[in-house]
Amino acid sequence: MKKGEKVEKRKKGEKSRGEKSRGERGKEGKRGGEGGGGEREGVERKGGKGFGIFVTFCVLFLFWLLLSGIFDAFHVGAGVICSVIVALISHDLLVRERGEKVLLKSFRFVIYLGWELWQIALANFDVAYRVLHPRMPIDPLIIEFDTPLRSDFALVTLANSITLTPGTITISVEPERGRFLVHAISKKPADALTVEKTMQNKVADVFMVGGQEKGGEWKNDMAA
Amino acid sequence: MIGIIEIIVVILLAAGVFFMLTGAIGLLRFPDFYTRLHATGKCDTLGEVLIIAGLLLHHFFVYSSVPGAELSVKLVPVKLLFLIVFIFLANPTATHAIMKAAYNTGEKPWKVGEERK
Repeated sequence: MKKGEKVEKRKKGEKSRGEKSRGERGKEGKRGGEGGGGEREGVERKGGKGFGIFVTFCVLFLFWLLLSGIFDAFHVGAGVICSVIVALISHDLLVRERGEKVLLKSFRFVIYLGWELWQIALANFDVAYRVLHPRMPIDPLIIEFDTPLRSDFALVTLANSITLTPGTITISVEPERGRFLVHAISKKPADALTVEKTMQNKVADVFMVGGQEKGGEWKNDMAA
Repeated sequence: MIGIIEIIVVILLAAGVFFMLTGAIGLLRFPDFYTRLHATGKCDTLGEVLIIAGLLLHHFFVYSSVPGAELSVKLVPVKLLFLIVFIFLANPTATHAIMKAAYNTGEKPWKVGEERK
């Protein structure tokens, strides 16, 4: 029964992936032409390179100014030189994709962070309760589930969110299938991930994985 | 004004210390490796962040807002803010690096009713 469910879920994931790639090829074909749908392919695109270097340089230089706090010619000049060198070497670490949706995504991400901070506070009260309760109400188990997320940043966000929220820690992630292995401290936080899927939905929403159809599909999952 | 800020700072520091202490107690009380990581991975993150937030507020209102303060002094809260961001990024990452290492080594998770390890 469980195995059947898993297989079905995986199929759903693949299907939605296919849909996404088709959709993106139509919408964003002008950007690259490779299509393919994954944000991973953005690395190979030539057009985004100068933009990536520029953004990395700005971030690094701002960081330098904030950390040094001295604005004479020598310090600022040294900052510019260092930022340019580091930006040239490692721009592809910071900026991987370029598109119209980046701003919207960052905006949604900030809203998500607010919710996440609240969850972190809840997590700590939860752990404090379990630690200080005389009988220690814990019942650890390990769960596995698939997500439609594929981009590195989305996967890292979800993995870190799982670790920071009540009662669950990510053990490992398979980026190819978006599969998460999670250790939960009792049944209830495990259900929050496998049945309610609040967090996956929120992260998928932030990174706009699969668009609206996907959201509908997941709501059906929740109802079933 | 300074009085209210000091009360808030003390509350933040106290909350931070409370969560760090809870993490330490959890480390001693919980039965196995994975559950102990639950205690340390979460409580330490919020504990440290609360303590730094307290220091940040204190520095901002006591030193940075003084007229004529040097720019490098004024920027200390920004550095503390960066510390908070990096702790939020690094702490969970380190937690699941350790967790994965334990899982790959074959450490068995504790089940209810078993002897503690």
